Amino acid sequence: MRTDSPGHYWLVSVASVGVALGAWLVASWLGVLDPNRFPPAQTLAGSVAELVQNGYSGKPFWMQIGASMGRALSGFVIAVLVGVPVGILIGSSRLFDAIVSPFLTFLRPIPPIALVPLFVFYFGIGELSKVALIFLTSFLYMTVNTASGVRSVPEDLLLASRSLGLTDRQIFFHVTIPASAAAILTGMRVSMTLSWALVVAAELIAAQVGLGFLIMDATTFFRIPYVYVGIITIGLIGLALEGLLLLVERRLLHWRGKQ
Amino acid sequence: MSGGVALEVRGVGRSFARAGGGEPLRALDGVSFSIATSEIVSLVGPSGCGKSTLLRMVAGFDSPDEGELLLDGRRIAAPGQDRGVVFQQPQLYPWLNVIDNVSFGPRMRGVARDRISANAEHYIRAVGLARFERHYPYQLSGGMRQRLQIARVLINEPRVLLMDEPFGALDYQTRLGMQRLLLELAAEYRPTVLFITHDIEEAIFISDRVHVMSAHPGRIIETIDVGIPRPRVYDEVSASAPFMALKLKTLKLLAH
Ligand SMILES: Nc1ncnc2c1ncn2[C@@H]1O[C@H](COP(=O)(O)OP(=O)(O)O)[C@@H](O)[C@H]1O
Ligand SMILES: [Mg+2]
Repeated sequence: MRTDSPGHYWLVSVASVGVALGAWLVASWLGVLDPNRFPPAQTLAGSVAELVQNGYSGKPFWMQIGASMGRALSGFVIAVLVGVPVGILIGSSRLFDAIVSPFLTFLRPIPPIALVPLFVFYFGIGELSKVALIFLTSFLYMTVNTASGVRSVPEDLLLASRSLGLTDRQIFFHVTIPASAAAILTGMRVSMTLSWALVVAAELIAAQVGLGFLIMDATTFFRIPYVYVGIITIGLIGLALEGLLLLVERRLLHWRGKQ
Repeated sequence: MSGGVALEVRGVGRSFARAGGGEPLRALDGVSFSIATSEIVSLVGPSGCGKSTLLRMVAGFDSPDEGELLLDGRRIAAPGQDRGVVFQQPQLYPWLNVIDNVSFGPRMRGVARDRISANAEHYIRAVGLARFERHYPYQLSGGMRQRLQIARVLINEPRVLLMDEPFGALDYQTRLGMQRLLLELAAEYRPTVLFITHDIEEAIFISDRVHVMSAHPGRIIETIDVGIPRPRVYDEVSASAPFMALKLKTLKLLAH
């Protein structure tokens, strides 16, 4: 295999992860790791088994995962449903852009975590405050990406379409939307990752169930292996979600080719 | 197709505001000419002499400040499939394959499916893309993309074909191939063509008439009747005395 082929770098990544995992397994086997600081493999495996069997804090492990995913996905889905039309409006109407963009531009750089106390104050410590926070953050990214996708549709492609006899409505649905699909899907991928990262952060502050709650609570009671299981679960699910959207992107946007 | 005058450009003028303010830029000034059915007419001239501005007005993308443009005697007001535009940078739908790109216009206009597919295959073959029906634009070379763009407008059987430096971005060999293709298509379908180029040889080789323009303001300074009989074969025509004479004459006109 040539050293500059993509497959080569992929192998390097696999090897790099393999070495790190291997070092950890060897250290575990040698018994040099302190279970309550940096847990060895056997402790972690035991914790996973316990969590799966007994759950945590009176709720099964799958429910902790489900609670986090439910919050993240509902905020994300609503953000896509609202953000895509709003982004299209921003991208296609200078007036609408001028009216709403100052607010969106102002809100975007505010770290969502800074809004948590305010959201708890307005929406309580229940589901609503978390879903609302995730919605807002995802929405802000969906709108910019969608709007920039719509704006980047070449002017000449729209003119060519009018010359083929398309109506404005047909141009919108059959040209503008597919031509913006790449930007919309990229926005979805970023928003999905943000939603997932944010739900855990929101749960650290106020929740009775969820992976963020589990991590926070386990730390308080010094159950460090549980903390690691929680963190690894979050990471793996994040990877899976990202991979899923990448797959959808490759399927739908195969025509982007190399160009 | 009806005979007689297809396109008429009457005293067309167009000015643009300059970015820095001051006197508006006179892109076109009193431009008049007409194109008969099945004629191929070229506009040549230096960059900035208003060639694209004029073509965009014929396409209905822009409108004149003075004068009028008539297609079959009717004033041009908006874009329509009766004027097929071929852009220098092919404006294709990257998410559609060759056959779907060609079928797209008629499909949107509600033409019957079986008629579309027969026509699409016909014109794809006519431009030499028969083996590439299922390819996507990103899988095609520059010349093939331009062929696809031509097929996509031919299927609409437009009254006028508008081509703005369609071969300008292609390498020399490909450009010659495209010129030959255009002559073949012209012989077979007898389209009316308004063609823009800054390549004098190309203009003479493919046209019945060449309007030579000057810039600032954009005007037609001379009209050349080519009169070389068709069918034209590039190797024969390009070495012939009449071709050389026309080329020299045009070069002199453009020199000042
Ligand atoms: N939309 C526009 N706004 C301002 N100036 C323009 C616009 N379109 C063309 N022009 C100017 O008009 C002149 C003619 O342009 P164009 O028709 O593109 O020339 P050509 O195609 O012959 O190179 C140029 O000086 C160009 O800068
Ligand atoms: Mg031009």
